[in-house]
Amino acid sequence: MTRSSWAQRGVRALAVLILVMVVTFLFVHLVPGDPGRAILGAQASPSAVKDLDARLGLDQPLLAQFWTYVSGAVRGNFGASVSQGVPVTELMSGRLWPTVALIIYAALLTVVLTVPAAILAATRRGTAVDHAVRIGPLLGLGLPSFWLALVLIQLFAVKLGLFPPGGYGSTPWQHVRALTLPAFVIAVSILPFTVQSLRAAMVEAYDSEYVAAARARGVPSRRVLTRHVLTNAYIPAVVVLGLNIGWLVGNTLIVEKVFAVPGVGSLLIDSTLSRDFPVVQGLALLIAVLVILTNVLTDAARVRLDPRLRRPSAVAR
Amino acid sequence: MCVLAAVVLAASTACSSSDASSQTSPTRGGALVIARGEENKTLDPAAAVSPADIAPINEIFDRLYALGPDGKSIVPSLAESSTTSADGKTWTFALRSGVTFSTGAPVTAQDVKYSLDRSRKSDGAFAFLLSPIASVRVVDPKTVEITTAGPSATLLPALSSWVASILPANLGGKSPEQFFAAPIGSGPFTFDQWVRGQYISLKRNATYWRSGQPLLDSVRWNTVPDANTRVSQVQAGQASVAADIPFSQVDSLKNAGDVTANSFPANLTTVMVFNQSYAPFADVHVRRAIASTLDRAAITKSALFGSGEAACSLVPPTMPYSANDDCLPLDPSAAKAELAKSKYASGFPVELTIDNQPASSTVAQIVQSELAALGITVTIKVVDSGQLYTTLGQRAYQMGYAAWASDIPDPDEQLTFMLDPKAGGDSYYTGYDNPAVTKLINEARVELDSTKRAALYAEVQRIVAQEVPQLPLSNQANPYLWRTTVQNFHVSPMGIIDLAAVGMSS
Repeated sequence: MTRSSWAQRGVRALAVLILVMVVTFLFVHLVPGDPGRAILGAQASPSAVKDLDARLGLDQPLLAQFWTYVSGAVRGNFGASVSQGVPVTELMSGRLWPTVALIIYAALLTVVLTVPAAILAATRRGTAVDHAVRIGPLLGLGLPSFWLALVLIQLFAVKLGLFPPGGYGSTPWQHVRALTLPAFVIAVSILPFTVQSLRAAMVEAYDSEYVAAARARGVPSRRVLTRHVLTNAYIPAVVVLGLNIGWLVGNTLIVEKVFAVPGVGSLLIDSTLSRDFPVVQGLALLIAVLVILTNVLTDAARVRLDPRLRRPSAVAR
Repeated sequence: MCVLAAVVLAASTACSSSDASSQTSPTRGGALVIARGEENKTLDPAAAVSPADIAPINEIFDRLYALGPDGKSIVPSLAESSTTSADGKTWTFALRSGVTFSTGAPVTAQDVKYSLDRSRKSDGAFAFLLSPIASVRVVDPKTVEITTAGPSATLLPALSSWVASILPANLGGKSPEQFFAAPIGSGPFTFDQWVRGQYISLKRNATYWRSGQPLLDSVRWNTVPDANTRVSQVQAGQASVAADIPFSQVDSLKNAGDVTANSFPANLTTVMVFNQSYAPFADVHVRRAIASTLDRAAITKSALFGSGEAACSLVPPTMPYSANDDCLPLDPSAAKAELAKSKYASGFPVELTIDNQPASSTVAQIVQSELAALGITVTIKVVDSGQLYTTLGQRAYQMGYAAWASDIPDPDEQLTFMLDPKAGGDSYYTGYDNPAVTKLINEARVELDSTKRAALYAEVQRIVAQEVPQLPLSNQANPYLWRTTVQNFHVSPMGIIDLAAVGMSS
């Protein structure tokens, strides 16, 4: 991949970020409901609500408020939370790691579950096993995440006591235990896509001439699988996983709430309900950055994994 | 009767009859973990507005007065005794001796003056609770004098509320940010740790002035947004208590092995509000017809699954001065006759504005089908729960479904806000204006004789039960789940758990 195509990507990412900033700003300000009322509650007098809104700068023209937001954001300053009085960056940094850990854990679990399932299906093409592997994950697609979460909590946390029913814990081992069920729920929701794409790519590889040639040379079938089929087939699967990270982040928000994971998701829901504009804006931008970053990393990974994509630059060199 | 027992008996009596006999007496020690939905935003009593913040504030700090074991009366706490001048304007409080902050410094009159002045002059949403106070004076280190503009019946209830918490004078020399990151008080528990979005934990105050209290070593509130997950956490033993569990699960969890559930009567009334700018509701006959049509008992049963009672008065029965036997009975033929006296004998269309909570939707559907009998066709408009009170406040609605929870154990706050059009809320967004009612409320506020005050409030409640500016539907209870190892668990109608009395059996 050439340097100019990376520059293009950078410009595109920047454009997406600007778009995200404009859209979230408009959304939070145009949705009905005002922060003063949300903070002071039902019993506050209209004048008290107005006073508070003025103190929060919400009586300023929309354009002036947008400028305050943008000029602060480029310097990494998202203002202070309306309801907690704490800098938004401080609130977000405390919430970032549980979410990032959950996403990474879910991605790892997805890989761990996808690879054996796809191998099983592709090597036994057309059998009952193949059909089961292709249809099974689709059930996961139909199950609402919160429902699956509640069932898993009742079974594995309440009845069997294997995992805590929600929370995050305070040591690394506790984090791993607490995040296992939520990561599994997220993995189940993305599994249909990754299993299908890996299986399809493997089937294609098995049908290819290079596999036929390898087999003709008497290469053992185990080596055909690892050396020829998987190396060619896993690239599309990685791309599917990477491109679905954005969707996975959306799912994380719901799963976090059910499992009481103190991540950005629960903060986003809470601050949306309490009309805590600075926090919502900061979080939307943070999530956008996370998603863009994963997409860029996916591209980079694809280039590293697939020598064919490196060829033009190799020629240029 | 569980509900009656909770009102009549002392706070230390657990409500469920089955475990009352099997209860072992609580011993010292134990770590209590409470799972609840909201997260903490502040520990500053002047800034706190949510129950999540008020709970730890109540434990870290003391106040001059406290809520009595009956959940209604006000009993001395840091104040040992008080005298009131003949004109009812000068109140002298003798402070309890031997009380110290957890740092060891004694609690003095200077601390009381600082704390009350700080809260009442703050721009906090509940500074108004202390508005009867004109000035606070230090007489000597153990005596405080409060002057009120006139006789004030709400002073003592207000002094028992969280905004009147006693902090060290000048915050012990710290900035507000420093102080409220690790606050110091004289309450039964001391601050331990606060991780925003996760938990807040308190430790036992070993030098607490009430002997033998508290029993617990520590209390911790975990933020668990999902109600079903809170239930699971108590079932699995990760938490000892779950607040605000689904109403539908209370019955099935009442005798469920290691856990038990109950709904504690609360000072919370759900009401239909009628915007009188919408012509039909300016007519008292229309409002009376609706009151005689809606089956409050059925609505309560469907929406709350038994975790509450049909309401009769705006003032819940768990509140002082509640007089609740005067409301219009369910009577379809009387309702039709009443509507015939108005200009809308054959009914009218109306929009009912509700928030997006499941219980609200249940209520709205029942209201819709029951009012159809009067020819009133209801369309339901759902707004976000954060938006409901803005819509009501702008009077941009016709009929609405709302709720009221009082912040002090006294009806003045509620009746003033709901019935006095000049108090800032247009009589709870209705536009109701009855000078006779306003006059009675104003008289009751400055009446220090409780018998006379009761008569005034009874008259207010009698009038509004007939004129129906708002229609009370249910007195909603607070549903809790806890492990049976938790002893002396009780929630007052103000939503306060007496944590100093709670213990754990091994």
